[in-house]
Amino acid sequence: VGEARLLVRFLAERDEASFRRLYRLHSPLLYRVILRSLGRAALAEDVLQETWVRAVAGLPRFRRDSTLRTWLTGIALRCCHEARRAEPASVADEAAPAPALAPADDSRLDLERAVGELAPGRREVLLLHDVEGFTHAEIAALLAIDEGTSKSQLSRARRQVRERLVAGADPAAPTEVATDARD
Amino acid sequence: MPEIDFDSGADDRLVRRLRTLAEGPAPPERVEERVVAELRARGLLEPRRAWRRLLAAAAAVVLFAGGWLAGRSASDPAPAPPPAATYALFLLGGVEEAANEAELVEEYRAWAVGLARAGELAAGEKLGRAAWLLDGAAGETVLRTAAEAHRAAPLSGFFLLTTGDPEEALTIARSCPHLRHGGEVLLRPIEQT
Repeated sequence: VGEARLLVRFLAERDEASFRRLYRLHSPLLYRVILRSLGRAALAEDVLQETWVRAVAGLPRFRRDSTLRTWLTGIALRCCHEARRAEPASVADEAAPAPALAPADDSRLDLERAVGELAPGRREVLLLHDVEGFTHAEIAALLAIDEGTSKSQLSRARRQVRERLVAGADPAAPTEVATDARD
Repeated sequence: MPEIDFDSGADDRLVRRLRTLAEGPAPPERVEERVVAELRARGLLEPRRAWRRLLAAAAAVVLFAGGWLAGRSASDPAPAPPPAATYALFLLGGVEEAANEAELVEEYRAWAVGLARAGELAAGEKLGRAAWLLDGAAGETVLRTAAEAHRAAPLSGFFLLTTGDPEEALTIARSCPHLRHGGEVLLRPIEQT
């Protein structure tokens, strides 16, 4: 069953089986975005739950002028922003700690840390564009910014991540050091 | 002379590394159960209704009984047409979770078989939960669950009776076991066109 038919079936039946299929289809992306936006697994789980509650409650109003993936991501980001405002002392400290990963994966952990040190706005643009494959037009709609802002934020975010990787003596960085030196 | 973008190579390498982050981490399995439980608690998922399964069983029995009646008439030179349905008996609401589902199934089954054998039941069907509301004023079709469309109790099944006598139809309606299990029954005449 394709996503469109699954969605129609769930709207009609509100059944658990259809919901679980939608959940499993979209939750990996939503969880990645939420976890990397907030940085704390326990909070990310709460926010993922809240995202689905709002999505299911609002599903009859989903107009299909965007994909379900984009619509759900928008809800997830709004929930993240609310969570950040609600916990100013811990979450809104600008930098998100790197999510838990396999200890042996040092290179990836460095990358996660570098991304986690970005300011929330730049981090979201970088994650949505470079990790999850959203277009600048989609990001602009999701974050209520214009496309030019999305592009400039992405450029700055990439540069900051490269600089962080170089400063952290990342093993994969030498070529980037040479390139960055010409900036 | 075109401007050389020294950043593009570094960007490409960085983007290739960033794309690997899309491979994880995945949400813990326990979150799915939490979400489903929360949706149920807020009434955003349909509860499992035991009596829907009962209706399905009763409908299957009616089909079986109909087949039995049809088989009996198959030996006749000119099989009689099935009796015309004259009333529709709608079942509304009903028991959420049966303490003894097997007993409940038997009660519905016995009732349906008795009517079918007496020639008073043309068909019984379980309805899906979907409801499409066509709003002429708004000029659009709104898809809703039956629960949303029928605020009081969802219309979930019906039986077609063959009696021509309204008093008899009312008597049959009063005998429906659905009334003894928290449900409502709606009796409507069928227009004979």
